[in-house]
Amino acid sequence: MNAPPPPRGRLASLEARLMAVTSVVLVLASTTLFLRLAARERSNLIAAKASAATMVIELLATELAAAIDFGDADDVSARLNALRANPDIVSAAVWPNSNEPPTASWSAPDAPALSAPLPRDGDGTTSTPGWLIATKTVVGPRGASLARVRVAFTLRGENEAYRKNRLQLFWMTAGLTAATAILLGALARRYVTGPLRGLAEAASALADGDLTARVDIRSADEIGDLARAFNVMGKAVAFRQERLEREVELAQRIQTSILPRQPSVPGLSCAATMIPTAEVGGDYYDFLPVEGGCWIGIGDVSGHGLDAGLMMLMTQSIVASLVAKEPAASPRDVVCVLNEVLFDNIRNRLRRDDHATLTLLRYDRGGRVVFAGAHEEIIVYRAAQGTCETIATPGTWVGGRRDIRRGTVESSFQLGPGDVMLLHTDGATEIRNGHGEEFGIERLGAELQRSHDRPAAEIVENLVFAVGGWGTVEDDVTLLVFKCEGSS
Amino acid sequence: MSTDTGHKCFIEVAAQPALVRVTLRGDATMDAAELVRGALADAHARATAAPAREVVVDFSQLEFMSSICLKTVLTWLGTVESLDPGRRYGVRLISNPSIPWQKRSIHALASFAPGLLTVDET
Repeated sequence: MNAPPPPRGRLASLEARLMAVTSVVLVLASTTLFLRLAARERSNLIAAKASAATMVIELLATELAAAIDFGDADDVSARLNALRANPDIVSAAVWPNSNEPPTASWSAPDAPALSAPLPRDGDGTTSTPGWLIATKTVVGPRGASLARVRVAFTLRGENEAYRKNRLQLFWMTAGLTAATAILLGALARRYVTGPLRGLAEAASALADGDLTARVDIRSADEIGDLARAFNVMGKAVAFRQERLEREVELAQRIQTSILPRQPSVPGLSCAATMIPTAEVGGDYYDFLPVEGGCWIGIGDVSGHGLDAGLMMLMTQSIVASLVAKEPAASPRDVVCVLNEVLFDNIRNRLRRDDHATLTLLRYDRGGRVVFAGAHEEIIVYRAAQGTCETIATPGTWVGGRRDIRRGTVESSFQLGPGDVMLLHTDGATEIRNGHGEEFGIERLGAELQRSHDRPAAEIVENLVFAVGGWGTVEDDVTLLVFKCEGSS
Repeated sequence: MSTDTGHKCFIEVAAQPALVRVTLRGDATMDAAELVRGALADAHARATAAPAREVVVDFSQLEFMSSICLKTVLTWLGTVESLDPGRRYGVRLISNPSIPWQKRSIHALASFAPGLLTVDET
C-alpha cells in the first residue's frame, strides 16, 4: 500500500517552481531590456531634434550677423519673427554680448522664458523634458562675436512619438517574455517534469504490485540515467518478488501438506479447517490417534513466513515422535520436552527468537481430556445443559525459555455424549468488522451452540461462514471440532 | 518519547524517579512491531543509564497486541534477564483482564520471567 502523498502547496511541484523561477528571471530581464530600449529610443529622438535645431540656429545666426553688423534692429526683429512660421519653435531671443536685455525676442504662450546665455555657456543644445534649447554665438564678418541667440524648440512631437513607441516596446517585450516563458515551460515539461512524472507513476504502479511497470525514456541525460536505473530496479524487484512467491508457495505446501487428513477416532467425530492468509501463517494443528484415544495439538507460532512454517513443522515432528514413543504420556511432560527441543532449535540453531502458543490434549476413549500448554481458551458445548463453557489453558508458551516446567500445568475435563469441543486459533476471534469490533470468543461460542446438533463438518462450515462474514481475514484461522457420539 | 502510528498505536516512554514508564494505547498490530521494539529499547537504555529500579509497562489501554509485538516484549524480557544482577531492573506489567488478548496472554507472558516480572491488574 502506498503512503499518502504529503499535502502539496501551490509551488510544491517542480514544474510550478521552475515556471515561477523562470518567470521571475524573465520579468527582471525583460524589464531591464525595456527600460534600456526606451531610454535609447528617447535619446535617438532628441538627438535627431538637436541636429535639426543646430541647422536652424546656425542659419539664423548667419542671417542675423549682417543685420547686427549694420545695426538694423528691425531686420533683426524681422528675422527672429520669421521663425514663428516654424511650429516646432516656441520662443527665440537675441542678446548683445554684454549682460543686457535682449535686443529682440518673442515667445509663444506656455513657452519657457529664455534667459541670457552666460559667458561660460557654450554653443549647442540642451534639453528638458518638454523643450530643446539651442544656443549660438552670432559672429561678424571679421570673426568677432556680435551677439548670442537662443531658440527654444518644443519636444511635444518627440514626446508623443516616444509614448507611442514605448507602448509598442512594452507589448513587444511582454509578448516576447510570455512566449519565452511558455517555450521554457514546454521544454521543462517535455524534458524534465514529464519524464519525472512518468517515473513517479511507474514507481507507484510497481509499489502497487505491477511488476511489469517500466519507463520508456531514452534520453542520454541524468533523467535518462535515472529511468534506466529505475528499469533495472524494477527487474530486480520482479525477480525477487517471484523468488519470494515461490518460497511462500513452498512454505504453504509444507504447512498444509503436513496437516492430518480424515482424522478418525472411535467415539469422536472430528472435523477441521485451516484458512491460511496470503503469507504463510504459523497456525498448527494435529490429530494423532493412539490406542484408546487420540492426541490433539493446536498452536500458533509468533509471526509469519518461512520461519513460522518451519517451526510448525518441527512442532508436529517432535509431538508425533514423543506420542509415538509413549501414547499414555502426560501432556505436561510432552509439552516440556517439546519446549526444550524447540528452544534449542530456535535459539541455538536457527538463531531466531520465535515462540509459539501450544496446547496439547490427550483424549481418552471414556471422554476424559487431559491437556497442558497455553493457547486459546477451549470452548465446550455441554449437551446436558445446552450451553457453552470456556476452559482456560493456563501455562506458558513454548520455545521462548529453556525450562518451562515451573509455569506449565496439567488440567483436565470430561466430555459427555453429545458434547462438542471447539479448538481455535486467534485468527477466528480477533477478526474485526468495519467498526473495528472483534468477533470474539462469545460469538464463536454462540455459533457453536447454534449448530451443535449438526455433523462436525457442518459445524466447522457454519463457523467458517460466521467468522468470514464478520470481516476480512488477516491472520490464519484454524477451527477444530470434536463431537462426542451419543446423546445426553 | 511518544509515537503515534496513524492513530492505531500510541506509545509513550517517560522517565520518572527510580522508574521508567512505557504506556501503550490502541492496537499494536503487526505494523507496530518496530515501534514497540524501539520504545522498549528506549526504556531499557533509560533504565540502565539512570539506573532505574523498575520499568512499568502499562497495557491497560492497549486493545490488541499481535504475536509479533508479543515476541518483541519477550525478547526484551530476555535482555533484561541477561543483565548482571547489579544492573538488572524489575518489570511490572499493568494489565486490563477485560481486554481479551490480555486475559489470554499476560499470564503466559509473566510466566516467562517469574523472578523478574510482576503483573498488576486494573
